[in-house]
Amino acid sequence: MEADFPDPTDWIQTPVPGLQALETSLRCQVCKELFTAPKVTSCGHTFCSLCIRRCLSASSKCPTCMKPDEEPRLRDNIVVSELVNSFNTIRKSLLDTLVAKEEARKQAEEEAQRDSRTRPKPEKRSSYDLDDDEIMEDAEPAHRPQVKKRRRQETITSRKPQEIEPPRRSTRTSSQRTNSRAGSSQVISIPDSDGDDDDFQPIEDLSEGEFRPSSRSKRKTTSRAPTTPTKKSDLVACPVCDRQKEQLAIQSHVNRCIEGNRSPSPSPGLANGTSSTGTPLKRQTASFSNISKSQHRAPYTAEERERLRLPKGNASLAKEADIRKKLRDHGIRYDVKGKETKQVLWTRLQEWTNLWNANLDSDNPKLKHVLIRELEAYERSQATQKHSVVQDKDFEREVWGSTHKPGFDALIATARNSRKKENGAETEATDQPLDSVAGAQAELTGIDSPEIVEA
Amino acid sequence: MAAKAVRRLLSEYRELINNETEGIYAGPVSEDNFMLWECLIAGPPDTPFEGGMFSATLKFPDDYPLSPPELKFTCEILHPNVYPDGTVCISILHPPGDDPNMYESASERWSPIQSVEKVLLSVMSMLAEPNDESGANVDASKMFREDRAQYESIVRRCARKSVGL
Amino acid sequence: MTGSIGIPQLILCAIVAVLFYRYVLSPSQTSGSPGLTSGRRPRAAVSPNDIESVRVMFPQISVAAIRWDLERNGSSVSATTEKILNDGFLPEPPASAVRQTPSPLPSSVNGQPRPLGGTGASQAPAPSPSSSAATTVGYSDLVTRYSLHSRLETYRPGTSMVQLSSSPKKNDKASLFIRGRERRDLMILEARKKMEAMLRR
Repeated sequence: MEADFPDPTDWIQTPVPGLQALETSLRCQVCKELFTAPKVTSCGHTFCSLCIRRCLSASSKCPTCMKPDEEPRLRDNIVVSELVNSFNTIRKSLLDTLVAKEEARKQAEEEAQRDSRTRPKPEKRSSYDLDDDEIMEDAEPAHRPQVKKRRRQETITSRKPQEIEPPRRSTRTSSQRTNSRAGSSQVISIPDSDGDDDDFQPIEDLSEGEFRPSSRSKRKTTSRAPTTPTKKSDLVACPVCDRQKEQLAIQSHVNRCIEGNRSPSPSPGLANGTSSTGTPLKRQTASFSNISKSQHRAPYTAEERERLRLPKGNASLAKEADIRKKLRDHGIRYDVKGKETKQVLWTRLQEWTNLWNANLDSDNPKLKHVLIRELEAYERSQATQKHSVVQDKDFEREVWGSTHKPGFDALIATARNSRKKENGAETEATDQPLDSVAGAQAELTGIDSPEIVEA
Repeated sequence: MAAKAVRRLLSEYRELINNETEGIYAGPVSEDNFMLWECLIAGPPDTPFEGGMFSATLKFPDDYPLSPPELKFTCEILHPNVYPDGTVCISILHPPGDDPNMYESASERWSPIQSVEKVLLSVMSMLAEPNDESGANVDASKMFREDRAQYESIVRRCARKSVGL
Repeated sequence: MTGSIGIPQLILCAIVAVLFYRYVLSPSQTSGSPGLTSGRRPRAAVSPNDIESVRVMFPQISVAAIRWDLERNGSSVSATTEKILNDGFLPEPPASAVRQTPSPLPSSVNGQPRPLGGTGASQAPAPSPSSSAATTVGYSDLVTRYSLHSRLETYRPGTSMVQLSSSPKKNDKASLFIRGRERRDLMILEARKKMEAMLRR
């Protein structure tokens, strides 16, 4: 896995090192991976859905320009998502081709040098006019895929006027197809005819029955979105549930939100969103149970995503009981005896919200139990960190204690002295030695004594 | 171990090695632990640090890149912004939450898009231009302000020592 | 220090511990006043092993200087090491002391530090500045830390760098590490050469 870890620096060794910059810009600046479910912030920067959600829940700022931003204002970056998909499809074959070409060139150069040493000849020969069979074999595949690519582009452009839908689908199917073939080491060829794509449609139909129409509707709604900018500016985020509401309706919405929070049985998970859609959770679980045992399901439609989106909530407004209830409703483990603090529960719920919401954006959404496993793995990694922090502190404390022992001893000695003096002075004045002890202790710990005495 | 952090660090390491940046080296101390790096920072030219090669360790938290790494010099160095124990006090290593009024520029604060390379480059420029306003080493910043000649001669000695001369 | 302890840290701790122990035993040694120590331990025979172990760390220091210093502090390798680390050089023995056996590249290097930073080296470690400069003891220089002395003589600036970049770039973890380490060593060697050139000027 480590050896096969693709990276933009792969391109440095090719004849086109400029591809490094191209790939770098197709990668998320936070995780340095190719974008998954790219989202664009209101300041125009693009990140993976999960990355930006985690960043925003850590601090509500864009990681690049530090402008304040909020999750509900994130938008899909459809073009980037398509770019990444198509880049990912051609990456391996492109790299193999270019590397082979470079190697052939080097070999040719060496050959030429050897030749020039034996007999004076023109210094450079390109790899193409070599009669060496081996090199020709290397150089050959360098050409073929490129030709195919060009042909494929032509077919896409020629199809474009008819309808928008098929080219996108073909992109996806072709990527799936290459993925399925990635195991074989041969150079990946890109399907260049419609027939190829049609072969794969039945499979898609089988596993993702209700997927086709919904993807179409998602496509339409997302493409329509930019044409209604007037509405967007009127939208205001509800302080309770973070949902975007129209300015005029916000007041009543907030009222309902707060009531919803207090109501004895808020509808789980989407408690705060009831005002907008009123979808009960039962439907969610139903949609989950419909799907086969595989790890993934079909992509969510725009409406589904809007409906299933979990509200971010507000740490100070949320009550511990509510957090527990939400966690239970989602089937997430927590300590029933109540040993975990509100902070721990809240962080867990936040991470779950991030995972869940990012999963909604994914082209290849995972099933709920997979997500829950991811949440647990994430928590474990954070837990080791906390553990090590505690270890660090203990370690530091010992070293600190040993190095500064003389200083501490001196401080304690002076404190003892002053306490003796105080005691001597106060035996007649006051009959509350406790206070002076508290004062001396406070001096030792460096806290103002009046506070202690008052407390 | 945090798989996400390790993956990202591997990515950064590869980029550092393949795209060499002048005057900077960074890499994991051992192959089994990606969360602790050693690094070298060359003394910037036309400063008393010139010619020196200063070593430091970088310790990454498990939630890297959300939280910044910790940078600590492991060589003798005199600088107003370096604590006597070697810990570096520089704005890029502080998460954006701390002292919001001190530095307005976004590029100067830690954010998940910063990287090891950028951190080391800003440490390099910190060596060249100490910020004696926020003195981590009070003696050093006092000497920097009041007795520049002595400061520079000590710094030169540190630089010489760093390469064993 | 950190929770996860690597080999350099361990070595560092060991050195600090040894030096601290030495410091506690004979605090006068570090201040370099020879009278006290030589009075307490008059000229012990210095074993060649001790001289060699110092010379491996500091090849630029002449054997004579090392021998003289070791004689004065009672064959304490760590005290000598510490002194070199602190001052950057060892004082040459008086002509009467011993026969001189100069080391391969030293004489220029050994004489140079004085004009450039001589005042800083001999006077700067006054109590306050040396305590404010990061811990003055316990840090070995980079050439010693990565034991590059053997490569120091063969290294020619530029040469190996070219070899490195022209070698095929593989991206698996192991070769990445090899290239990384190599780059680190070359950077140190190059810095060392540059510093030598600077000091010669």
